[in-house]
Amino acid sequence: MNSPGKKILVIDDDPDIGAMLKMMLEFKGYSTIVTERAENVKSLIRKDPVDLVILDMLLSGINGTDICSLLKKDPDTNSIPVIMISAHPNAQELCEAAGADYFIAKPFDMHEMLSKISDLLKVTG
Amino acid sequence: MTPTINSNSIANSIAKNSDTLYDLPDNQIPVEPLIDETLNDRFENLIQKLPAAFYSTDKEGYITFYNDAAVQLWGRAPEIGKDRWCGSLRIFELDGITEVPLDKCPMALALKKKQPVRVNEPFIVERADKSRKYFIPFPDPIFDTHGNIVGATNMLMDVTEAKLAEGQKAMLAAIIQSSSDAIVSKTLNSVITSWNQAAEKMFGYTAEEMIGQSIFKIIPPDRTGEEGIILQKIKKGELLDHYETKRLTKDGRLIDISLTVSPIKDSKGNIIGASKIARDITETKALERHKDNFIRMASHELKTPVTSINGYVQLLLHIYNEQNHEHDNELTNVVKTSLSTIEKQIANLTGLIGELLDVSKVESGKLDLYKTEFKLDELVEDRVQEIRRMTSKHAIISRSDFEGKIVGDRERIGQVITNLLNNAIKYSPASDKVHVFLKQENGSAQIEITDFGIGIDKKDQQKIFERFYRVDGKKEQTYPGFGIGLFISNEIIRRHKGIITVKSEKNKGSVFTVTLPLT
Repeated sequence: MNSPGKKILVIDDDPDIGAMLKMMLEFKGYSTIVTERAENVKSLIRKDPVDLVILDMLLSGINGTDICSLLKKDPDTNSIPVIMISAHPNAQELCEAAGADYFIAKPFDMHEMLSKISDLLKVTG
Repeated sequence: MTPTINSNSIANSIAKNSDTLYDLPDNQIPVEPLIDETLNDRFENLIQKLPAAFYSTDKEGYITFYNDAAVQLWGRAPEIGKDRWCGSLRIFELDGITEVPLDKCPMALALKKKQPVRVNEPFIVERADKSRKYFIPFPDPIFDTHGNIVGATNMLMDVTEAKLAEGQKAMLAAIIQSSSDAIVSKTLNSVITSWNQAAEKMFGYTAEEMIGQSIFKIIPPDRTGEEGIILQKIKKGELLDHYETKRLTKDGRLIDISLTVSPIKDSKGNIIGASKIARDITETKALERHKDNFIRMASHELKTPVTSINGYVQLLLHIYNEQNHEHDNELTNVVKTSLSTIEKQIANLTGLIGELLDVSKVESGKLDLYKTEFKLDELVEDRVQEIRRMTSKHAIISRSDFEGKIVGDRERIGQVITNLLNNAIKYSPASDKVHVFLKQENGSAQIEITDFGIGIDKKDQQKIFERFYRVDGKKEQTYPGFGIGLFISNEIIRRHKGIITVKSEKNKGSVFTVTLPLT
């Protein structure tokens, strides 16, 4: 398995999608944390630093774009690449405006997801 | 028809009862003495040619004389000495229902009261053919030298045309007043000249408050530029049709309106102002927003379960493909085929959900483009690769002579390429290849997608870009589809100032060419 040791945080309010991503990522050798709630994302990362975040846009009460902006504004977290995902139309513009490094529309293609993760982790080392 | 007047002339009829006629004081009609026969003839001729209806009676009310215009009005020639009071058989009040007995008609009253009768409102005569005319009577009694009544004259003014015009004007005014659309007129200097009831209700200002005021009073500050554009069109004699905008009400609310503005011309055809019809579409707009929102959420809700199904299927396929296939048995082959089919069908389903959403977007003019600069050859290759994964039968043979970048919505243009590739495969079941050729031509990038399938009839070639259009024909109808893929593709390319064209021959195949400007 590749990229051993790299840790990815998945934030999605749909547990099935979270579980699917976890399975997919762990199969590819990434260690993965999944959370449905995004309120305490900063303390979560502080406690357990991650190398990349996969962030859904609509999180049942919280907007993923706000979380993204928060991470990108904080010098402690702004270097962590964020891939935002959403089934919402016109989400791309909103997500990129919030500072997301990449946007992938749901339903996403696994190959695109994996190749983008690998690209972003290479850049950030 | 000319009535007989020789022995029944007005002068003679009156002369029978009196030797001399002369003026009476107060309000009675002055009549010159008429003795000379030549003068009498001239007088008769003059009256005969009067454009107004004119007749006279003796003191009993029996008709003694009438002119051509009277016959025209009544629609009949009365019998001299027999018809009484009036040449018409029926007279009505202005309501057209209340019949006035002939012996109570204004002429009868003038004779009975021995004084002129003047009325405020026209009467109606029913003509011989049952048609009706409006008229105003001017009956005047005639007296002899001793002040005895000898007869009467009556001039009838035909006011039918004026009355009908008045009626039409009143009807138009009533239509304007009772319309639920605001109808407003203004000068070319934007000064309001009329303001109907609906305008009062819609904008909250009364006609009194608005007539003479500037139309800018109801234009929101950020839309004042619109008025200049509207006036420019009007001055050119053009119409502004169903223009959707917002206006400001007296209480400061912004309302959505659909505006139709047309030029008002004077009798010489000069444009002297504009009439505006405004419809309050606030509710329609709210409904549209609800609909858009519903479709957005429906699309989101449909895509979410598809995301996890797709993810698991792709993961399983990936795991399967990475495994050692030495020990493959029937079961593993079934699993692999099943997963591939599920993956393909999920892609179809995702495409359909997207198309439905897109139709709604195109209809409401909200197909937003997210433009970036990107390499077109890479996009074409990505989409070709994706299709290759999904199809086992057709070889997608691609070639590129263009390596430049273009500015556009990468996802949307990709969607067009995928749509055209899917169509090429779908409509060529008996063929095994599709050609994709990317090239540069006349400052444009061209993507040419060629299939060797069933082709499209000449008559259908332009219509296939219309919404929900599907080619008729037994064979064509057996192919699945909504009939919206090309409609959306065409819209996407049009929005990039490009064009999709088709060359096709029945049973030979089709070439779809997407041309996109490079600047």
